[in-house]
Amino acid sequence: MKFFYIKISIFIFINLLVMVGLLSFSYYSDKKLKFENWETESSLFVIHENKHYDIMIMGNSHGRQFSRGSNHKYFEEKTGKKMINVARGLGGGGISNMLINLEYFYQKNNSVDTILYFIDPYIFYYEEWNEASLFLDNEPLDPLYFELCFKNNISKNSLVNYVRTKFSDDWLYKEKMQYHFNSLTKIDSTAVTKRLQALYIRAPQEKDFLKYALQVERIIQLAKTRNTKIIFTLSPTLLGEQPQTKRLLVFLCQMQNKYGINYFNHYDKVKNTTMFTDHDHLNDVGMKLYINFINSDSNF
Amino acid sequence: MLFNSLEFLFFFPTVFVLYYFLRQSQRLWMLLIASCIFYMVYRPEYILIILLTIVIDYFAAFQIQKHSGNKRMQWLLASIVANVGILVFFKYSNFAIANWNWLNAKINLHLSSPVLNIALPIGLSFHTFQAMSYTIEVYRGKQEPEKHFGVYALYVLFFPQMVAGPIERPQNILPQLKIKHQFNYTEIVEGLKQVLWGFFKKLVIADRLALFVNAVFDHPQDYSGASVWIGIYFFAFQIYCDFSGYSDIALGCARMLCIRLMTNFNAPYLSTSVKEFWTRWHISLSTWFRDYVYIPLGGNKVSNLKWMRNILIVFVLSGFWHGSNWTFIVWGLLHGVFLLASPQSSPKERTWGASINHPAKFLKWFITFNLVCFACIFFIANSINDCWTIIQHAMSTNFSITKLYEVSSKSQFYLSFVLIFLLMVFEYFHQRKNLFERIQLMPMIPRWSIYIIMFWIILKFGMFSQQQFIYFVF
Repeated sequence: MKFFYIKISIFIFINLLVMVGLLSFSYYSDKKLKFENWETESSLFVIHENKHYDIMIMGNSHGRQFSRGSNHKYFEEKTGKKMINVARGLGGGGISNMLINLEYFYQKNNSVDTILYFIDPYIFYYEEWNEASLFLDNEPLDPLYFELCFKNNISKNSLVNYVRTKFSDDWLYKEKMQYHFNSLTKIDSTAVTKRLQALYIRAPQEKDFLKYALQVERIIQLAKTRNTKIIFTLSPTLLGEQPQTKRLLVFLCQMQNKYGINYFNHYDKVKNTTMFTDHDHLNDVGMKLYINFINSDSNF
Repeated sequence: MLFNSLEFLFFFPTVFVLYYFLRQSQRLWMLLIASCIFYMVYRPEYILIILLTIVIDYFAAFQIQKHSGNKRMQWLLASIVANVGILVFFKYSNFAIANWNWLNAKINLHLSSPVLNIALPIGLSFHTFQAMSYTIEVYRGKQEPEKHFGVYALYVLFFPQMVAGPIERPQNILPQLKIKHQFNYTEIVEGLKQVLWGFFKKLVIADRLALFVNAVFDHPQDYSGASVWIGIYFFAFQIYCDFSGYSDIALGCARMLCIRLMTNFNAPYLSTSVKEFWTRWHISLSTWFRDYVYIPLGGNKVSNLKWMRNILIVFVLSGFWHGSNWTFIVWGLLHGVFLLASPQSSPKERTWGASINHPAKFLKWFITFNLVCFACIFFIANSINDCWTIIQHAMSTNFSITKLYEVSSKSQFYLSFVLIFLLMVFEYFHQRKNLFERIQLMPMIPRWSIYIIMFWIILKFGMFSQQQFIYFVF
């Protein structure tokens, strides 16, 4: 028995050594990498230290679009403002994730004047879009970030995957994110139904809304302590009014009364289907149109 | 609790250490408690259902032994009705209600019923059949009723095999639960190797193939004929690697506790006939149906017509056991028809390895494999209509497979083929010479290198999204 336990301990020790070696290599080699916001989908690669920004974009893919293709440069040129984008597409733009990104941003001694948070109602109802999403798979290893994820109850599975994916480097988004330039010709009701079914995994429950609403409130409180203005926006979409939109607007109204934040519903701001690459995302031309609108709107 | 979960990573080593640390009497109760914990992670209240059947069967066995004649049969029937009744209620009541409602609608009776909102207890079909084999064996006089309630309870609840088999027999398990097992280094290492192999099949192969299978069968109309066929082949390997991977982990864990469970899979995709396939696939289920349905019906010792009837009954029941849907019944029926239609293999062609190069043998393998894969359509589809949709799209002459690259990536797609090829090569050579034993005979450095490389392949290439084992829903 002793012999077995000794052997298994040696086996575990060898593998732990290999693990620590690979993770250390990953950590130190990734620290040297430099990416611009439009070159990577990762947030950690673009959050540096001791920097000041005029605008920070947060949220899901609706926010992420602002840095895809040539949109990021266009935004900065049009607005004359320096922008950082920590929004995450591909299912990684949950509220839990954004809270962690913001905490990490501030802990790196950065500052920002205004946060534009692109938010949707579905994000308030499912752990699959929040703490159980695998958003960490595309982030480099960072002990501080890991600690923040742990403290904010990110699922054990996500944390294990965060470490596991760093044993090699094929998680790295080195190439530019594929940006779609195609245009829709008409609204397809079947596609709209499928999209909504994909977003609203189960029947929404109020207790889940309240859980994630608390996290949004924490984001607002955190921004307030750092003198950052925060604006919530529901992005242009062809999906129509999504389920639970009214619930979200009621909540945002409460936050406005309590903290003085602003919020806008831009669901119908862009109605031309040719401005959309799918029923829920603007294409290159549509994004530029939307950026022009934001720039011209004094509320922003 | 899933085998591929963090909880199990802490659970099993704890059980393992306690098992060899405790005295025999304490081991039994520790295993029982651990098995209850293992089961209750899913839905705690459902343990009561299993405990109810355990109590019924425990007492029924004594009554069967105590009485004679009709009384014996009555007690056996009481046990079977209790077990099957619970299985039917949880698994088949909504199927019955749905079909009753369909019939109502057809003949305008207006007597439809609402479907029940009940979740299927995990592994119900498996432990129900295992429990029934106990009382049947007692009735047949081949098994003495187990006096120790804890031992019998553990026979049903033993965690490595309770939720997805193998479906054990009391003669195999009960004696093993009662003897004091000494720490056996060889058994433990063999068990560990089997667990590693099981995780490789489940996490690296099955869960990778699942990405493509789910994409194709969720929207078969979006894929070409060639892509649908690839989806079908991938599903055949997904379900094999998922189920046999689970069985290997179960057998490996049990072996590490010095308990030998029965082999459940024996390279089924190397079969050269459907008959042979069913001696290699889910062996515990096929032998259960053979011993408790086929042989009591007369087996093959009856007229040809009755023999054919017996085969079809067994396969329809087997299909129905897998799921409460007409698709499973058709799946079972197809296998029965394939078996009846296939020619008998001659004694000369008994060994696969001896005649690998024989064209007739290769052709038989090819036909068998494709028949089994074709039947898989009825296994994965949600309805008979979906089956026809899949078959129609499989017949399309569009051979483009580029859409499959979009599911994950081109490299993942081709990696899946490489893994399937490696699996088949391994199984072919493993059949001829037990490769695990050969590895054990190697010097330490190459042996450990294989273990470490396997471990890192699972860590690096494994899909850890906690995809549930397919057979958990049966």
